[in-house]
Amino acid sequence: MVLERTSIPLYWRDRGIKYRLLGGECKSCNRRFFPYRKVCPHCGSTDVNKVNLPRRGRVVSFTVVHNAPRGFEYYTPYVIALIELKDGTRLLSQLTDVEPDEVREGMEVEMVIRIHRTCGESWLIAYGYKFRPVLKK
Amino acid sequence: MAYISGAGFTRVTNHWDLSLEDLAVEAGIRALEDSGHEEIDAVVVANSFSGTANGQEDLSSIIVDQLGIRDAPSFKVSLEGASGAAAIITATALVNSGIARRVLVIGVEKMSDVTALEDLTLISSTSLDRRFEREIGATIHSQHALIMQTYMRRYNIGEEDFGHFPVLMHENACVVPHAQFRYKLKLENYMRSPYLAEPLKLFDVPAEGDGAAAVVVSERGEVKISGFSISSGKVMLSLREDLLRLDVVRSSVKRALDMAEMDLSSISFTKIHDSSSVLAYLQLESIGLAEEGKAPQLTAEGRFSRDGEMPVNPEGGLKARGYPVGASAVYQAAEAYLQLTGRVGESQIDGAKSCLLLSISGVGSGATSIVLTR
Ligand SMILES: [Zn+2]
Repeated sequence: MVLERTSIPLYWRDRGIKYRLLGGECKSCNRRFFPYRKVCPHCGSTDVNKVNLPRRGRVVSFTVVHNAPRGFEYYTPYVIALIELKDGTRLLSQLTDVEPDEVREGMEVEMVIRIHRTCGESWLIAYGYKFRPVLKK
Repeated sequence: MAYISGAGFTRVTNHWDLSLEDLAVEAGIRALEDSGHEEIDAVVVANSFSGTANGQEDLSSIIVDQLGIRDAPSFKVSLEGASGAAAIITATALVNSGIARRVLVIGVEKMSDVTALEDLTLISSTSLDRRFEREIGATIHSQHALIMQTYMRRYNIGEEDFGHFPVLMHENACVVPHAQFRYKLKLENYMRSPYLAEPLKLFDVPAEGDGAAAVVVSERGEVKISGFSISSGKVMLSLREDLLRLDVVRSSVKRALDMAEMDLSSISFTKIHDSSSVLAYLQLESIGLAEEGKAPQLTAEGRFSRDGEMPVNPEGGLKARGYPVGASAVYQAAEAYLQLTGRVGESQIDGAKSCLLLSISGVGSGATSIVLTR
Protein backbone atom coordinates (compact mmCIF):
# COMPACT_ATOMS: atom_id res chain seq x y z
CA MET A 1 0.00 0.00 0.00
CA VAL A 2 1.06 3.58 -0.72
CA LEU A 3 1.30 4.52 2.93
CA GLU A 4 4.21 2.21 3.76
CA ARG A 5 6.42 3.73 1.08
CA THR A 6 8.94 6.32 1.96
CA SER A 7 11.01 8.40 -0.42
CA ILE A 8 14.58 9.54 -0.89
CA PRO A 9 13.83 13.26 -0.46
CA LEU A 10 11.82 12.53 2.67
CA TYR A 11 14.78 10.78 4.30
CA TRP A 12 17.47 13.06 2.85
CA ARG A 13 15.73 16.16 4.20
CA ASP A 14 16.08 14.87 7.76
CA ARG A 15 19.68 13.67 7.46
CA GLY A 16 20.98 15.99 10.18
CA ILE A 17 18.38 14.78 12.62
CA LYS A 18 18.54 11.10 11.69
CA TYR A 19 22.37 10.81 11.53
CA ARG A 20 23.63 13.49 13.95
CA LEU A 21 20.76 13.85 16.44
CA LEU A 22 20.25 17.46 15.46
CA GLY A 23 18.17 19.13 18.15
CA GLY A 24 17.27 22.62 19.21
CA GLU A 25 18.57 24.79 22.03
CA CYS A 26 16.22 27.57 23.08
CA LYS A 27 17.92 30.83 23.98
CA SER A 28 14.79 32.06 25.68
CA CYS A 29 14.14 29.22 28.18
CA ASN A 30 17.57 27.54 27.94
CA ARG A 31 16.04 24.14 27.31
CA ARG A 32 16.91 21.65 24.61
CA PHE A 33 14.66 19.45 22.53
CA PHE A 34 14.69 16.79 19.82
CA PRO A 35 14.22 16.91 16.88
CA TYR A 36 15.22 20.39 15.74
CA ARG A 37 12.33 22.65 14.84
CA LYS A 38 11.90 26.38 14.38
CA VAL A 39 9.72 27.00 17.42
CA CYS A 40 10.69 25.86 20.93
CA PRO A 41 8.14 23.22 22.06
CA HIS A 42 8.64 24.22 25.69
CA CYS A 43 8.08 27.99 25.57
CA GLY A 44 7.11 28.94 22.01
CA SER A 45 10.16 31.11 21.34
CA THR A 46 11.64 31.25 17.83
CA ASP A 47 15.08 32.11 19.24
CA VAL A 48 16.36 28.58 18.71
CA ASN A 49 19.88 27.37 17.80
CA LYS A 50 20.76 24.07 16.17
CA VAL A 51 22.76 21.69 18.34
CA ASN A 52 24.10 18.15 17.93
CA LEU A 53 22.84 16.29 20.97
CA PRO A 54 24.91 13.83 23.05
CA ARG A 55 24.84 10.26 21.76
CA ARG A 56 24.64 8.63 25.15
CA GLY A 57 21.76 8.32 27.54
CA ARG A 58 19.61 5.90 29.50
CA VAL A 59 16.34 4.05 28.99
CA VAL A 60 13.51 5.79 30.86
CA SER A 61 10.74 3.46 29.78
CA PHE A 62 10.26 0.86 27.04
CA THR A 63 7.83 -1.47 25.32
CA VAL A 64 8.22 -4.59 23.20
CA VAL A 65 6.21 -4.28 19.99
CA HIS A 66 4.57 -7.54 18.91
CA ASN A 67 2.28 -6.38 16.11
CA ALA A 68 4.42 -4.33 13.78
CA PRO A 69 3.01 -2.02 11.14
CA ARG A 70 3.61 -2.80 7.45
CA GLY A 71 7.30 -2.18 6.75
CA PHE A 72 8.57 -3.32 10.17
CA GLU A 73 7.42 -6.97 10.25
CA TYR A 74 10.99 -8.16 9.79
CA TYR A 75 12.14 -6.75 13.14
CA THR A 76 9.29 -8.11 15.29
CA PRO A 77 9.43 -8.29 18.25
CA TYR A 78 11.38 -5.07 18.73
CA VAL A 79 11.88 -2.57 21.51
CA ILE A 80 10.70 1.04 21.38
CA ALA A 81 12.28 3.03 24.19
CA LEU A 82 11.89 6.49 25.62
CA ILE A 83 15.49 7.61 26.11
CA GLU A 84 16.89 10.47 28.15
CA LEU A 85 20.20 11.71 26.74
CA LYS A 86 23.07 12.88 28.96
CA ASP A 87 21.87 16.50 28.72
CA GLY A 88 18.30 15.59 29.71
CA THR A 89 16.80 15.75 26.21
CA ARG A 90 14.32 12.97 25.50
CA LEU A 91 13.66 11.02 22.34
CA LEU A 92 11.99 7.85 21.15
CA SER A 93 14.11 5.18 19.46
CA GLN A 94 14.32 1.51 18.63
CA LEU A 95 16.91 -0.43 20.61
CA THR A 96 19.29 -2.73 18.74
CA ASP A 97 21.94 -5.34 19.53
CA VAL A 98 19.93 -6.46 22.53
CA GLU A 99 17.23 -9.07 23.17
CA PRO A 100 13.91 -7.61 24.37
CA ASP A 101 14.09 -9.55 27.65
CA GLU A 102 17.53 -8.08 28.43
CA VAL A 103 16.33 -4.48 28.38
CA ARG A 104 16.00 -2.71 31.74
CA GLU A 105 14.86 0.73 32.77
CA GLY A 106 17.91 2.84 33.55
CA MET A 107 20.07 0.89 31.09
CA GLU A 108 22.92 2.98 29.58
CA VAL A 109 22.59 3.24 25.81
CA GLU A 110 24.44 4.88 22.93
CA MET A 111 23.42 5.96 19.45
CA VAL A 112 24.41 3.99 16.36
CA ILE A 113 23.41 4.27 12.70
CA ARG A 114 21.36 1.31 11.53
CA ILE A 115 18.88 0.35 8.84
CA HIS A 116 15.45 1.58 9.89
CA ARG A 117 13.77 -0.42 7.16
CA THR A 118 13.82 -1.37 3.51
CA CYS A 119 10.86 0.09 1.72
CA GLY A 120 8.54 -1.83 -0.55
CA GLU A 121 9.25 -2.61 -4.20
CA SER A 122 11.91 0.08 -4.59
CA TRP A 123 14.09 -1.57 -1.94
CA LEU A 124 15.07 1.87 -0.78
CA ILE A 125 17.11 1.37 2.38
CA ALA A 126 16.34 3.95 5.03
CA TYR A 127 19.07 4.50 7.63
CA GLY A 128 18.82 6.38 10.89
CA TYR A 129 19.57 6.31 14.60
CA LYS A 130 18.98 3.39 16.89
CA PHE A 131 20.37 2.93 20.39
CA ARG A 132 22.28 -0.05 21.78
CA PRO A 133 23.53 -0.90 25.25
CA VAL A 134 26.88 0.82 25.99
CA LEU A 135 29.63 -1.72 25.33
CA LYS A 136 31.61 -2.68 28.42
CA LYS A 137 35.38 -2.17 27.94
CA MET B 1 -28.24 28.53 20.62
CA ALA B 2 -27.89 25.10 18.98
CA TYR B 3 -29.73 21.88 19.78
CA ILE B 4 -29.75 18.26 18.70
CA SER B 5 -33.07 17.47 17.05
CA GLY B 6 -32.51 13.97 15.71
CA ALA B 7 -30.07 11.08 15.74
CA GLY B 8 -29.45 7.78 13.99
CA PHE B 9 -26.73 5.18 13.65
CA THR B 10 -25.82 1.73 12.41
CA ARG B 11 -24.55 -1.10 14.54
CA VAL B 12 -20.76 -1.09 14.95
CA THR B 13 -19.35 -4.25 13.41
CA ASN B 14 -17.61 -5.50 10.28
CA HIS B 15 -20.21 -4.47 7.71
CA TRP B 16 -18.95 -6.72 4.92
CA ASP B 17 -21.93 -5.88 2.72
CA LEU B 18 -21.86 -2.08 3.16
CA SER B 19 -19.42 0.46 1.72
CA LEU B 20 -18.13 3.63 3.38
CA GLU B 21 -20.79 5.73 1.68
CA ASP B 22 -23.55 3.11 2.24
CA LEU B 23 -22.93 3.39 5.97
CA ALA B 24 -22.96 7.19 5.90
CA VAL B 25 -26.18 7.30 3.87
CA GLU B 26 -27.85 4.80 6.23
CA ALA B 27 -27.04 6.85 9.34
CA GLY B 28 -27.93 10.12 7.59
CA ILE B 29 -31.38 8.85 6.56
CA ARG B 30 -32.08 7.55 10.07
CA ALA B 31 -31.15 10.88 11.68
CA LEU B 32 -33.25 12.85 9.18
CA GLU B 33 -36.22 10.55 9.85
CA ASP B 34 -35.72 10.93 13.58
CA SER B 35 -35.72 14.72 13.30
CA GLY B 36 -38.97 14.68 11.31
CA HIS B 37 -37.40 15.28 7.91
CA GLU B 38 -36.15 18.76 8.59
CA GLU B 39 -34.76 20.66 5.66
CA ILE B 40 -30.97 20.66 5.76
CA ASP B 41 -28.79 23.74 5.09
CA ALA B 42 -25.37 22.11 5.38
CA VAL B 43 -23.70 18.73 5.83
CA VAL B 44 -20.56 18.21 7.92
CA VAL B 45 -18.88 14.82 7.56
CA ALA B 46 -16.60 13.47 10.30
CA ASN B 47 -14.05 10.87 9.27
CA SER B 48 -10.43 10.06 9.93
CA PHE B 49 -9.13 7.47 7.46
CA SER B 50 -11.10 7.68 4.19
CA GLY B 51 -7.95 8.70 2.30
CA THR B 52 -5.69 5.99 3.70
CA ALA B 53 -8.11 3.10 4.36
CA ASN B 54 -10.60 3.64 1.53
CA GLY B 55 -8.71 5.71 -1.06
CA GLN B 56 -11.60 8.17 -1.10
CA GLU B 57 -11.13 11.89 -0.63
CA ASP B 58 -13.69 14.66 -1.16
CA LEU B 59 -15.82 12.40 1.00
CA SER B 60 -18.57 14.88 1.86
CA SER B 61 -19.38 15.43 -1.83
CA ILE B 62 -19.71 11.67 -2.35
CA ILE B 63 -22.03 11.30 0.63
CA VAL B 64 -24.20 14.35 -0.08
CA ASP B 65 -24.60 13.23 -3.68
CA GLN B 66 -25.72 9.75 -2.61
CA LEU B 67 -28.03 11.15 0.07
CA GLY B 68 -29.77 13.16 -2.65
CA ILE B 69 -29.33 16.47 -0.84
CA ARG B 70 -29.00 19.19 -3.48
CA ASP B 71 -27.35 22.55 -3.23
CA ALA B 72 -26.21 22.31 0.41
CA PRO B 73 -22.66 23.19 1.37
CA SER B 74 -20.67 20.26 2.70
CA PHE B 75 -17.18 19.49 3.91
CA LYS B 76 -15.24 16.96 5.94
CA VAL B 77 -13.83 17.67 9.39
CA SER B 78 -10.98 15.51 10.60
CA LEU B 79 -9.41 15.21 14.05
CA GLU B 80 -8.65 11.47 14.20
CA GLY B 81 -10.58 9.93 17.11
CA ALA B 82 -12.19 13.29 17.92
CA SER B 83 -13.31 14.03 14.34
CA GLY B 84 -16.97 13.59 15.26
CA ALA B 85 -16.81 16.14 18.06
CA ALA B 86 -14.95 18.63 15.88
CA ALA B 87 -17.72 18.20 13.27
CA ILE B 88 -20.49 18.73 15.83
CA ILE B 89 -18.70 21.78 17.20
CA THR B 90 -18.34 23.15 13.66
CA ALA B 91 -22.04 22.56 13.02
CA THR B 92 -22.88 24.27 16.32
CA ALA B 93 -20.81 27.27 15.31
CA LEU B 94 -22.66 27.43 11.95
CA VAL B 95 -26.03 27.42 13.74
CA ASN B 96 -24.99 29.77 16.56
CA SER B 97 -23.66 32.29 14.05
CA GLY B 98 -26.82 32.16 11.95
CA ILE B 99 -25.03 30.88 8.85
CA ALA B 100 -27.16 27.72 8.90
CA ARG B 101 -30.37 26.75 10.66
CA ARG B 102 -30.10 22.97 10.42
CA VAL B 103 -26.90 21.02 9.88
CA LEU B 104 -26.64 17.28 9.32
CA VAL B 105 -23.49 15.85 10.93
CA ILE B 106 -22.51 12.39 9.73
CA GLY B 107 -19.60 10.49 11.23
CA VAL B 108 -18.41 7.46 9.31
CA GLU B 109 -15.47 5.04 9.36
CA LYS B 110 -14.92 1.89 7.35
CA MET B 111 -11.74 -0.01 8.23
CA SER B 112 -12.74 -3.61 7.49
CA ASP B 113 -11.77 -3.37 3.81
CA VAL B 114 -8.18 -3.26 5.11
CA THR B 115 -7.79 -6.96 5.75
CA ALA B 116 -4.10 -7.30 6.68
CA LEU B 117 -3.27 -6.65 10.33
CA GLU B 118 0.03 -4.92 9.43
CA ASP B 119 -1.81 -2.41 7.25
CA LEU B 120 -4.45 -1.81 9.90
CA THR B 121 -1.73 -1.14 12.48
CA LEU B 122 -0.03 1.25 10.08
CA ILE B 123 -3.22 3.21 9.31
CA SER B 124 -4.17 3.32 13.00
CA SER B 125 -0.73 4.76 13.72
CA THR B 126 -0.95 7.67 11.29
CA SER B 127 -1.80 10.09 14.12
CA LEU B 128 1.77 9.67 15.38
CA ASP B 129 4.51 12.02 14.18
CA ARG B 130 5.35 10.39 10.86
CA ARG B 131 9.03 11.31 10.66
CA PHE B 132 10.22 10.75 14.22
CA GLU B 133 7.75 8.31 15.73
CA ARG B 134 6.26 6.18 12.97
CA GLU B 135 9.41 5.96 10.83
CA ILE B 136 11.33 4.44 13.74
CA GLY B 137 8.70 1.73 14.23
CA ALA B 138 6.53 3.27 16.91
CA THR B 139 2.83 2.36 16.68
CA ILE B 140 -0.34 3.59 18.27
CA HIS B 141 0.03 0.59 20.61
CA SER B 142 3.64 1.31 21.56
CA GLN B 143 2.58 4.81 22.63
CA HIS B 144 -0.27 3.54 24.81
CA ALA B 145 2.13 0.93 26.22
CA LEU B 146 4.75 3.51 27.22
CA ILE B 147 2.09 5.51 29.04
CA MET B 148 0.77 2.34 30.69
CA GLN B 149 4.26 1.37 31.81
CA THR B 150 4.73 4.82 33.34
CA TYR B 151 1.36 4.57 35.13
CA MET B 152 2.25 1.14 36.57
CA ARG B 153 5.59 2.38 37.88
CA ARG B 154 4.31 5.60 39.42
CA TYR B 155 1.31 4.13 41.22
CA ASN B 156 2.82 0.70 41.81
CA ILE B 157 -0.04 -1.27 40.29
CA GLY B 158 -0.15 -4.47 38.23
CA GLU B 159 -1.44 -5.34 34.79
CA GLU B 160 -4.69 -6.81 36.14
CA ASP B 161 -5.74 -3.36 37.40
CA PHE B 162 -6.10 -2.25 33.79
CA GLY B 163 -8.66 -4.99 33.20
CA HIS B 164 -11.35 -3.34 35.33
CA PHE B 165 -12.19 -0.80 32.66
CA PRO B 166 -12.68 -3.19 29.70
CA VAL B 167 -14.63 -5.52 32.01
CA LEU B 168 -17.00 -2.64 32.84
CA MET B 169 -17.35 -1.65 29.18
CA HIS B 170 -18.28 -5.19 28.15
CA GLU B 171 -20.74 -5.40 31.04
CA ASN B 172 -22.44 -2.19 29.87
CA ALA B 173 -22.58 -3.21 26.20
CA CYS B 174 -24.42 -6.50 26.87
CA VAL B 175 -27.83 -4.78 26.67
CA VAL B 176 -26.99 -2.33 23.87
CA PRO B 177 -28.40 -3.46 20.49
CA HIS B 178 -25.95 -1.49 18.32
CA ALA B 179 -22.83 -2.52 20.29
CA GLN B 180 -20.07 -4.48 18.58
CA PHE B 181 -19.26 -6.83 21.50
CA ARG B 182 -22.32 -7.84 23.50
CA TYR B 183 -20.70 -10.32 25.84
CA LYS B 184 -19.18 -10.20 29.30
CA LEU B 185 -15.42 -10.14 29.68
CA LYS B 186 -13.85 -11.88 32.66
CA LEU B 187 -10.73 -10.47 34.27
CA GLU B 188 -8.92 -13.78 33.74
CA ASN B 189 -9.67 -13.63 30.00
CA TYR B 190 -8.38 -10.06 29.92
CA MET B 191 -5.16 -11.29 31.57
CA ARG B 192 -4.82 -14.11 29.04
CA SER B 193 -5.12 -11.84 25.99
CA PRO B 194 -1.87 -11.46 23.99
CA TYR B 195 0.43 -8.47 24.13
CA LEU B 196 0.25 -5.93 21.33
CA ALA B 197 3.11 -3.93 22.84
CA GLU B 198 4.06 -4.96 26.38
CA PRO B 199 2.34 -4.37 28.79
CA LEU B 200 -0.56 -3.33 26.53
CA LYS B 201 -2.83 -6.26 25.75
CA LEU B 202 -5.35 -6.99 23.02
CA PHE B 203 -8.22 -6.41 25.47
CA ASP B 204 -6.85 -3.01 26.50
CA VAL B 205 -7.78 -1.51 23.16
CA PRO B 206 -10.90 -1.43 21.02
CA ALA B 207 -11.15 -3.09 17.63
CA GLU B 208 -11.68 -0.73 14.72
CA GLY B 209 -15.29 -1.49 13.78
CA ASP B 210 -17.20 -0.09 10.82
CA GLY B 211 -20.01 2.29 11.61
CA ALA B 212 -21.77 5.54 10.94
CA ALA B 213 -23.72 7.85 13.24
CA ALA B 214 -25.52 11.09 12.48
CA VAL B 215 -27.14 13.92 14.40
CA VAL B 216 -29.10 16.95 13.25
CA VAL B 217 -27.84 20.17 14.85
CA SER B 218 -30.65 22.73 14.73
CA GLU B 219 -31.77 26.09 16.04
CA ARG B 220 -34.54 24.18 17.86
CA GLY B 221 -34.58 20.77 19.53
CA GLU B 222 -34.92 18.79 22.73
CA VAL B 223 -31.28 18.64 23.77
CA LYS B 224 -29.17 21.77 24.05
CA ILE B 225 -25.49 21.94 23.08
CA SER B 226 -24.63 24.03 26.13
CA GLY B 227 -20.84 24.00 26.06
CA PHE B 228 -18.02 22.88 23.82
CA SER B 229 -14.29 23.21 23.41
CA ILE B 230 -11.31 21.83 21.48
CA SER B 231 -7.76 21.78 22.89
CA SER B 232 -4.63 20.92 20.94
CA GLY B 233 -1.39 19.93 22.66
CA LYS B 234 1.85 18.04 22.16
CA VAL B 235 1.89 15.13 19.74
CA MET B 236 5.30 13.52 20.38
CA LEU B 237 5.49 11.59 23.64
CA SER B 238 9.16 12.49 24.09
CA LEU B 239 8.30 16.20 24.22
CA ARG B 240 5.62 15.90 26.90
CA GLU B 241 6.56 17.05 30.39
CA ASP B 242 4.72 14.16 31.99
CA LEU B 243 3.20 11.19 30.14
CA LEU B 244 0.46 10.96 32.77
CA ARG B 245 -0.79 14.54 32.42
CA LEU B 246 -3.47 15.11 29.82
CA ASP B 247 -3.50 18.91 29.89
CA VAL B 248 -5.67 19.00 26.75
CA VAL B 249 -8.38 17.13 28.65
CA ARG B 250 -8.22 19.45 31.65
CA SER B 251 -8.44 22.60 29.57
CA SER B 252 -11.15 21.46 27.15
CA VAL B 253 -13.37 20.09 29.93
CA LYS B 254 -12.99 23.27 31.97
CA ARG B 255 -13.80 25.54 29.04
CA ALA B 256 -16.84 23.49 28.00
CA LEU B 257 -18.23 23.40 31.55
CA ASP B 258 -17.58 27.12 31.98
CA MET B 259 -19.42 27.87 28.75
CA ALA B 260 -22.36 25.78 29.98
CA GLU B 261 -22.12 27.52 33.39
CA MET B 262 -22.05 24.12 35.05
CA ASP B 263 -19.72 22.05 37.17
CA LEU B 264 -19.08 18.32 37.36
CA SER B 265 -21.54 17.81 40.22
CA SER B 266 -24.44 18.71 37.91
CA ILE B 267 -23.44 16.21 35.20
CA SER B 268 -25.63 13.06 35.08
CA PHE B 269 -23.25 10.86 33.09
CA THR B 270 -19.94 11.09 31.22
CA LYS B 271 -18.59 9.59 28.04
CA ILE B 272 -14.87 9.24 27.60
CA HIS B 273 -12.58 8.08 24.81
CA ASP B 274 -11.32 4.70 26.01
CA SER B 275 -8.86 4.09 23.19
CA SER B 276 -6.94 2.10 25.82
CA SER B 277 -7.49 1.21 29.47
CA VAL B 278 -4.74 3.53 30.65
CA LEU B 279 -6.00 6.45 28.55
CA ALA B 280 -9.45 5.87 30.06
CA TYR B 281 -7.99 6.08 33.58
CA LEU B 282 -5.99 9.21 32.74
CA GLN B 283 -9.13 10.88 31.37
CA LEU B 284 -11.15 10.05 34.49
CA GLU B 285 -8.36 11.56 36.57
CA SER B 286 -7.86 14.61 34.34
CA ILE B 287 -11.59 15.39 34.29
CA GLY B 288 -11.55 15.25 38.09
CA LEU B 289 -13.71 12.14 38.51
CA ALA B 290 -10.87 10.29 40.25
CA GLU B 291 -7.76 11.28 42.16
CA GLU B 292 -4.46 10.60 40.43
CA GLY B 293 -3.68 6.89 40.52
CA LYS B 294 -7.11 6.01 41.92
CA ALA B 295 -9.13 5.43 38.74
CA PRO B 296 -8.48 1.64 38.59
CA GLN B 297 -9.66 1.11 42.16
CA LEU B 298 -12.73 3.35 41.76
CA THR B 299 -13.64 1.54 38.53
CA ALA B 300 -13.41 -1.83 40.32
CA GLU B 301 -15.54 -0.48 43.18
CA GLY B 302 -18.33 0.50 40.80
CA ARG B 303 -18.20 4.28 40.90
CA PHE B 304 -18.41 4.49 37.09
CA SER B 305 -20.96 1.70 36.58
CA ARG B 306 -24.33 2.52 35.07
CA ASP B 307 -25.90 2.55 38.54
CA GLY B 308 -22.84 4.13 40.18
CA GLU B 309 -22.12 7.65 41.40
CA MET B 310 -20.99 8.82 37.95
CA PRO B 311 -21.96 6.49 35.09
CA VAL B 312 -19.25 6.41 32.41
CA ASN B 313 -19.87 5.10 28.88
CA PRO B 314 -23.27 3.51 29.63
CA GLU B 315 -23.31 1.99 26.10
CA GLY B 316 -19.93 0.28 26.51
CA GLY B 317 -17.53 2.90 25.17
CA LEU B 318 -15.07 2.40 22.36
CA LYS B 319 -14.02 -0.93 23.84
CA ALA B 320 -17.35 -2.74 23.62
CA ARG B 321 -19.84 -0.55 21.77
CA GLY B 322 -17.09 -0.24 19.17
CA TYR B 323 -14.60 2.22 17.74
CA PRO B 324 -15.38 3.56 14.28
CA VAL B 325 -12.63 6.12 14.76
CA GLY B 326 -13.82 9.31 13.02
CA ALA B 327 -17.47 8.50 13.77
CA SER B 328 -17.05 7.59 17.43
CA ALA B 329 -17.75 11.05 18.87
CA VAL B 330 -20.94 11.30 16.78
CA TYR B 331 -21.98 7.98 18.34
CA GLN B 332 -21.34 9.56 21.75
CA ALA B 333 -23.61 12.49 20.91
CA ALA B 334 -26.33 10.38 19.26
CA GLU B 335 -26.43 7.95 22.21
CA ALA B 336 -26.42 10.84 24.68
CA TYR B 337 -29.31 12.48 22.81
CA LEU B 338 -31.32 9.27 23.17
CA GLN B 339 -30.33 8.96 26.85
CA LEU B 340 -31.39 12.53 27.60
CA THR B 341 -34.72 12.03 25.84
CA GLY B 342 -35.33 8.71 27.65
CA ARG B 343 -35.29 6.48 24.57
CA VAL B 344 -32.54 3.89 25.03
CA GLY B 345 -34.29 0.99 26.73
CA GLU B 346 -32.27 -1.24 29.05
CA SER B 347 -29.18 0.97 29.22
CA GLN B 348 -31.26 4.03 30.21
CA ILE B 349 -29.94 6.16 33.08
CA ASP B 350 -33.07 7.28 34.90
CA GLY B 351 -33.53 11.01 35.19
CA ALA B 352 -30.43 11.91 33.15
CA LYS B 353 -30.51 15.66 32.50
CA SER B 354 -26.99 16.49 31.33
CA CYS B 355 -23.80 14.86 30.16
CA LEU B 356 -20.16 15.53 29.36
CA LEU B 357 -18.73 14.02 26.17
CA LEU B 358 -14.96 13.75 25.90
CA SER B 359 -12.97 12.61 22.89
CA ILE B 360 -9.26 12.40 22.15
CA SER B 361 -7.16 12.64 19.04
CA GLY B 362 -4.02 10.54 18.79
CA VAL B 363 -2.68 9.46 22.17
CA GLY B 364 -3.78 12.71 23.79
CA SER B 365 -2.54 15.16 21.13
CA GLY B 366 -5.90 16.88 21.30
CA ALA B 367 -9.15 16.72 23.23
CA THR B 368 -12.73 17.80 22.61
CA SER B 369 -15.46 18.37 25.18
CA ILE B 370 -19.18 18.82 24.62
CA VAL B 371 -21.80 19.44 27.32
CA LEU B 372 -25.38 18.46 26.48
CA THR B 373 -28.39 19.39 28.59
CA ARG B 374 -32.07 18.55 28.34
ZN1 LIG C 1 12.08 27.72 24.93
